[in-house]
Amino acid sequence: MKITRRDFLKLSAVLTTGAVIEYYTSDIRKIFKAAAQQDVNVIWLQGSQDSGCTISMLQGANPDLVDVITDFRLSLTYQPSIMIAEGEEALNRLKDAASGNTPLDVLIVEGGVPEGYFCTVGEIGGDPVPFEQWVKQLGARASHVVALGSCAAFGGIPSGDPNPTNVRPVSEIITEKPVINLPGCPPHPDWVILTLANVLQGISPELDENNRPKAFYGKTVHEACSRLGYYEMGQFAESFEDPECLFRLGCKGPISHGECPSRLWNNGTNMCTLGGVPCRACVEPAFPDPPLSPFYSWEIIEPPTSEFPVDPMIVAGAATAAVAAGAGAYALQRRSKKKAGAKKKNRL
Amino acid sequence: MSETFVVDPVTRLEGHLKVKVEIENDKIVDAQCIGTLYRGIEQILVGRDPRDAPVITCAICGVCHETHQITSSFCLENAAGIRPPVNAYAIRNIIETATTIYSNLLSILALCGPDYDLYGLGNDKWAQVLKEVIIPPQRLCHQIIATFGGKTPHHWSSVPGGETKKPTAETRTSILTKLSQIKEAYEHIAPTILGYLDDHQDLKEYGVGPKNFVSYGVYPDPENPEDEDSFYFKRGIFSKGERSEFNVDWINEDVTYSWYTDESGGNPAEEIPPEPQYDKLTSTGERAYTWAKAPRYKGEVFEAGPLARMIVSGFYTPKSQHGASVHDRIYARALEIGKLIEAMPIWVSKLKPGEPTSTKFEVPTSASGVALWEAPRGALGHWIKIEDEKISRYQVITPTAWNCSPKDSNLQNGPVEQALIGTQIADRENKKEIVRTIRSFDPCLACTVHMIRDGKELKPISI
Repeated sequence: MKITRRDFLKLSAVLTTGAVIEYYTSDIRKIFKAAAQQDVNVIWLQGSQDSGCTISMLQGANPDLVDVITDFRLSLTYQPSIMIAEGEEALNRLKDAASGNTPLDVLIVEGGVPEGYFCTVGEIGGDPVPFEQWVKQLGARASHVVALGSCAAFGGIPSGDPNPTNVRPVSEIITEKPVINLPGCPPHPDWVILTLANVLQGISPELDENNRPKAFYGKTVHEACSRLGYYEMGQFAESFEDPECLFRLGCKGPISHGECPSRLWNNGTNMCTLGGVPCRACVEPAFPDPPLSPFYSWEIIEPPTSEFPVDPMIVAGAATAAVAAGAGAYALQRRSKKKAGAKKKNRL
Repeated sequence: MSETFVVDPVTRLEGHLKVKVEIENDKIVDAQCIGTLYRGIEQILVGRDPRDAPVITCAICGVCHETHQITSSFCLENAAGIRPPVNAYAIRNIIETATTIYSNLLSILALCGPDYDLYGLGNDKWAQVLKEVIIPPQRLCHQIIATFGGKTPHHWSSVPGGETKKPTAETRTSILTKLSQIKEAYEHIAPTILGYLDDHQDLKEYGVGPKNFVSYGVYPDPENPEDEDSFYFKRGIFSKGERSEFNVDWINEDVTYSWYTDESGGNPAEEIPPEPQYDKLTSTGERAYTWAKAPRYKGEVFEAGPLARMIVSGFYTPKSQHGASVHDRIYARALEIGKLIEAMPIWVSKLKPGEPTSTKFEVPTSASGVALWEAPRGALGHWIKIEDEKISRYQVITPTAWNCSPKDSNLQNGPVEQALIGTQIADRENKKEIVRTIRSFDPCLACTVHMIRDGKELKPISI
């Protein structure tokens, strides 16, 4: 049974709460069941990445959804991690979709796109096929494109300065249509599942200026952090094990947009700042470079004055003193700016 | 007349892998292991604050990310000359144990499984097996890691100096409860796996490899971590039927057949970050063929992984008359899960609620550090050099580098290549020996394998 567009918009409207999956489990189940049973073509490619996004979605999904998500994943037209289809059939599916012989509903790209032979997938006529070529050809055919994880969305760790393999985000390769970015290292499985649930219904979620669904990336980690009270009282941890705010140990929560504190990870087990780990802002375009790096620091900076919020850029190590809002914007700058100043690039 | 077969992609290995074999009279006479992704993580690290290294190196692998984070933290602690508290060692042992149980289950069931008529993996029962048998214990492993690490994959709680989360009495109970559930699942799964392997003697006949094994050792006694004899899995090598001491100075990376300049490579403590040179020709005019380097120990080829760990630690003796085989690799990997389930309560008992988990780490002005550890798939080493409080060199040698290494200057093939060469193909239409051998080295993510013959694809193994 297919749920109506109206129902689904209702679902999308409340995506912000961590509990949405519990309230809407049956609706979400219906969507994925329908997608698994119907003739929906979804291709999931892997490029310059470490497969953490795939692992996250498989192991961390809500227990009530694991079975339908597994069925859905097994029904994907192409998914290198889990599909049981045989090689010849698998490659033909990629070729058929790339040539337009079969329609492609959703293209999911996990990983950044490095230059040419730094990453190849398969051979055609004895020649290795650059990953970039698959992304370009399949992207041109896909109705919806999802860039899964920080590497696909913004370049991520493999694009870290000096970006040795010229890794680019999917949106720089597929320029003719919108790319939905789901950054995170890895993204929360719920973000992926709920976004796909939208897209499978033909609904594009509302996006922020970095093309991330507002529902998941609308608030800062800081706003909902369990240590926020300490911050407001001006009490700061001096070592990671202390219960106080991690701000002065390098936490980037104030400039990181993600709802980790309300959703929690690994089926409600924990999240970074709750576990004493300063937020690394892994969902932001600048990750893993300045001002987000160095990621943490043991140095205790000057105690904050009564003027809150403290300028996060002091912690982030940026020379520019900016107000919190301005600093957030700075951290959000697209990578392409940084790349112009890249020190050294490998040539092929 | 020989035929060339290309298996690309062999995705169940972290990153991208391609394997090319030459077959003559139904026998593999040559093999090439080809890494098809280069990311340059070591280049990205140069010039950074050393404390960034655990987070950056974590992204080397999305399956055993914990291992890199821990090894990198040890490496920085070694450079700074500090020793983290007992709690940190206990937590790292627990995280590593959970990671290895997770990864071994993944390898045996989800990756190797479909190549065998095991559990109905690979047929229409696949989804059900995945949901009911494979995923539940793996989720528990991840929850144990997230208990300390905040989230997983990429837990990020192992920092230079120790760990970030203080254990409580409740933490101990919660881990043991999850462990007992994992144990229950393992007791259900293990007889099927081991029984299957015992019933299929042909699996002892191929996939032999170099018969030299290296284990860096792992799981130190948290109270006495510097004593190598306290390691639960021992450090050492096993070669020509004998066990001997391991010396880190004898590792050398050969790049003769790698797509890097000849200036790259060398001893990991000294070598420069690799300089890419795609399609390089060797001095004899042959084509280099991979992004992987070839680590060698005393100039010889060594295999890393659970089989190496189990042999070096005296927990396992290969049953194949050839000294190693596909059977032995999977068998040892399955038995290792049992050893780890036995060991986990030891580390849990060393957790000291309320006591510190980290010591202060200060970035040294200039220093060198090394850390040797065992990833689920085998020997893992990190080397750092710090100058002016920044990283000036960083080297990582992964177990995959050992196992999937190419030929070296002495024309010795890497372990996977050696394990393939000499293999007799029983069925021309269904060359299952090839992928079974590759996957027995614990390739990483589940995928499909396709074979291309002179540009024309052939049907891969039928399942």
